[in-house]
Amino acid sequence: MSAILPMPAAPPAEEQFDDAAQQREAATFGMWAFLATEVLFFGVLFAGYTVCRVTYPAAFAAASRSTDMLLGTIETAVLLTSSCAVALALRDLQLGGRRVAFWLLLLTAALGVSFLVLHGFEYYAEYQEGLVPSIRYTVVGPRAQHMELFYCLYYFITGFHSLHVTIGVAVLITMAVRTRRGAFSAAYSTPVELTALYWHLVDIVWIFVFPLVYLVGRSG
Amino acid sequence: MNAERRRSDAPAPPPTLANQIGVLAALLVLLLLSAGSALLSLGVFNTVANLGIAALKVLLVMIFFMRLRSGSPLIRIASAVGFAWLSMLIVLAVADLLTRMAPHAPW
Repeated sequence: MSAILPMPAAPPAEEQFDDAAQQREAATFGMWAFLATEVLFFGVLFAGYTVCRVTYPAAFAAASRSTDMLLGTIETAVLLTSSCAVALALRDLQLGGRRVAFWLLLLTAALGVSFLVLHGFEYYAEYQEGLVPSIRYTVVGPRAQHMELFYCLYYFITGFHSLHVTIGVAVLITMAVRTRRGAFSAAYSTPVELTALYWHLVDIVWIFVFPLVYLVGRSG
Repeated sequence: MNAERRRSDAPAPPPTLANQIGVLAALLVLLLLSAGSALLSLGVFNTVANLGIAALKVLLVMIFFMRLRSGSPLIRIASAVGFAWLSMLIVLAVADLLTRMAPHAPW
């Protein structure tokens, strides 16, 4: 159907580019370069985690067992589904749609918010149990000090991740509003494409967080 | 020289709906597999399985959701460099940690 209707034209390329295709390639490349820096940002935290876990395996297994595996699994499923939703939103836009793309972008943002709410419940439960180092930490025993390392890394990694989710939700809502106003078309959807790339990275970080935080020492 | 270079005004055609839903289904199955395998007593293979499944999920997201499958070689390289440097960081840090020995007194 969209093939029959005339497509709205893409905005003209900025003067430093040969054409719209080159401009789009440059924008996508820039986003991937940014994502590489994000991988290294979270990577440092994961490297710290690796060193601490290799040094204190038993304490990390004990601390990981105190996390909420069911909530963690649900949160992962929520983020994976949101990634698919934003990919479908971009697909719809590129096929000339607008209404479905708008709702899919809103759905993605809503799934992001529900992830944050679920994680808020987790943080609250951990506070109640006294698992927050230097604020309310009631773990005792020979491993308590080493378990503190796990909790510190857990709050830093998930805290920074939640910050990324929050930023992502704000950008997704902006994109949804712009989509509804007709700012994008089959010929021009680069901002949504870049937002989707960012959101997928947020998902990728969580895919690694899930086994490293929630699944250690679960057997036996 | 680049007359044959692939470039069009529009990006590569978007993936099919079945493709994207299929990838989501695969991701959710892998998630359950990951959570299920963590409950089995596999020793060191618990970690191997968990990280292997996580890597597989990330590849699915990057290839199909982030469309590296139809991406240009430049984009594919850019997508790999962050992970390449990160793996170097982790491998060298762990290698250092595991090979440290108490230094002998030189006298």
